Parts: sequence; structure tokens; C-alpha cells
Amino acid sequence: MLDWKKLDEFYIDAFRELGNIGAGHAGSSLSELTGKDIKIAVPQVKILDIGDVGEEVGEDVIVAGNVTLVKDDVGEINGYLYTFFPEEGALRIIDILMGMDMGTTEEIDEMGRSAISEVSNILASSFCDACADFLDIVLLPDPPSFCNDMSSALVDPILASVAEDEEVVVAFVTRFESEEFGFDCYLVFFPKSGGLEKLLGLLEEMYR
Amino acid sequence: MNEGKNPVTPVGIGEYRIAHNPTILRAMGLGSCVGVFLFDEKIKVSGLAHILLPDSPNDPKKRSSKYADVALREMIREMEEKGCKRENLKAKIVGGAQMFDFMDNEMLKIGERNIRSVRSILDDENIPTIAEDVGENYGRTMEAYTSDGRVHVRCGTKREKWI
Repeated sequence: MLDWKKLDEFYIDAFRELGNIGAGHAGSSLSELTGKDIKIAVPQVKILDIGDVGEEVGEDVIVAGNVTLVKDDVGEINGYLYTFFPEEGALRIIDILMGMDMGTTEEIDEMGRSAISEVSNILASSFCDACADFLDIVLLPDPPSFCNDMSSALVDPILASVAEDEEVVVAFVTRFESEEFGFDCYLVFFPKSGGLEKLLGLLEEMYR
Repeated sequence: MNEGKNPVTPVGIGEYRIAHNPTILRAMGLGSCVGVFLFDEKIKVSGLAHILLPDSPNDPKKRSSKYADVALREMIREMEEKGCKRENLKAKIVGGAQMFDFMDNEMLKIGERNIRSVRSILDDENIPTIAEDVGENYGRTMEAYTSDGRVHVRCGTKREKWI
């Protein structure tokens, strides 16, 4: 098993570059979708112990977003991609997509769920696009599952499914910014069955 | 929710904690995880396990308290070492939700499998479950008061109850 504590600055840099490409893709898709100039900051990259994801976000924080299973076309890399927003940001996404004034939405209804899901989808597919650009791998996402609850509660079933063979996750933390708003956004990749090691191998090949 | 000034002991995923002083044992954000609270009213010794997975694999190297069987059996043994009597132990269980609408099978059923495993172990050990708040599709935070065995359950920011 990979000793994650030995992951050095090189990998963090490589992941940041990957995240940066993804953020660029996502920013332009979102600007196109909303007609607003949305910028996504260069993501912070964190390699976290698998049990600490809830803590990183704040265990009690209510979040909304998507979880989707992604796999590559040769069956080497797969895992769960979890894209979400702390609830305040999720409510602003609904405002933006529904063309309402900032601060209008107070609750996530059926329509709101689709709006958040849509933006989460864009983030997930931007991550997959970045992997294609940067690492030349094809990651295909399964249909996503919407979620809206305490961050640590949502991580539970993913942990249960990967905890037997992986110990770390890669988290990209970034911010959506425009003239009218700014809020945090998380994209966390939970690799399954040796997927992280293969991903690191690819980063090394491409970059070192 | 913290009535009075009880100290709080957090119980992380895959851990269990035993307390013999008045304290609050807290498991935050239980999704498909199950929190199992055991207490002996007579001598006021309690334990809370935050269980991630149902049954441990046969490989002894993989024995860990993230599995229901390992966590509960070890916790019961330690509680007995601290003077608990098996016939005085009572259980309250919380969590085991199904957090997602659809997902691959193994993930969909994990909450349910955790609950089933916890019930069958408690049954084997002859420990009655006197209260529970399990299943459904939302996360829960539980706080167990070791002074009197009450458990406070909070779901998101809206619902809460005592069991």
C-alpha cells in the first residue's frame, strides 16, 4: 500500500496543475451556461487521510452536490468523484442558474436540486477533461447521485466502499468568484483499489 | 445540544470510546455508519462505537475497530474489565442511513448491512436494544449522556429528538 505521508511537493504541484486545467474548463463552461463572468480560483490541493474528509469541510456543515463513480476505459483507474458546496454556496448557485437576485433562495427544492446537480456535473466532467488533457486518460462518469446533508454523513458510504484498500483521498478546494458572489467549492477524488498509485505513476511520467 | 457543562468526548469513524465519568460521547455525522451506545446503569460505565463496516474479513491483519464485530466485541470486553456486568448492559443504536438514491449495490446497502450486523452481534451477546433511530436517508449526529443513558439525535439543522 502507498505510504501517503511520503507524497511530496512534486505530486502536490502536479495535482495543482491538473486542478488548474480542470478549473479553467469549469470556469468557461459555467460562464457560458450562465452568461456571467465566473472565475474559479486555482485550487488548493490536499492529500487527506480518508477519515479526515468530514473534518476538513467541517463535520457538521450541510453541503449539497453530487457523487459519481468514474472509471477509465482500460479498467485501471476508478473511484468516486464527490463535488459539493457548503449550503450557502449551493443556494447562491440556484440564484445564479435561475436568474434570481443573489440571496433570494432559502431552500433547496426539486428545481434547486437540478441546478446544483448541473453545476456539480460540470465540475466532474471538467476534472475528467483535465485528466484527458494532462494525463491522456479517458475517465467516464456514471450517472451522478444528488446529495444534501451533513458532509461527514455523505462521506460514510464512500468510505465504506473504499476503506478496505485505500487510505488517502485527493481534495481540490477552490472558490467561485464573480462581481456579485464568491463561495467555496470542493471536489474530492476517492480512488479505489490501487487507482491512486496508478494516477501518481501517470503524473510522474508526464511531469518529472 | 449540551445540557449543563458535561465534557464532550468525540468518537471518530472506526473508533470506540469508553467513559466512566459523566461525559457526553459524541459521534458526528453518522451516515451509513452506525453508532452503538452501550451502558451499565448500575455502575455508570458507558461505551460508544462509531462503526463503518459490517463484518471483518478473515485476514487477521485487517482486524480493525472500523468493523462492527471487532469494535463491539472489544468494547464489551473492555467494559467488563471496568466492572460492567453483561446482564446490566443495554444498547441504543443510531444511524445506518441510505445516503444516496442510486449507486452501485455494495454502497446502496451498506447502512442496512451495518444495522443487521450490529443487531445480530448484540443478539449473540445477549444485550437488549432499548432504543434506536436507524435507517431512512439522512445523516445524524448522536450525543450519549453517560450520567443517565439518554441519547440526543440531531438530523441536519432541523429535526432533533431524544431516545
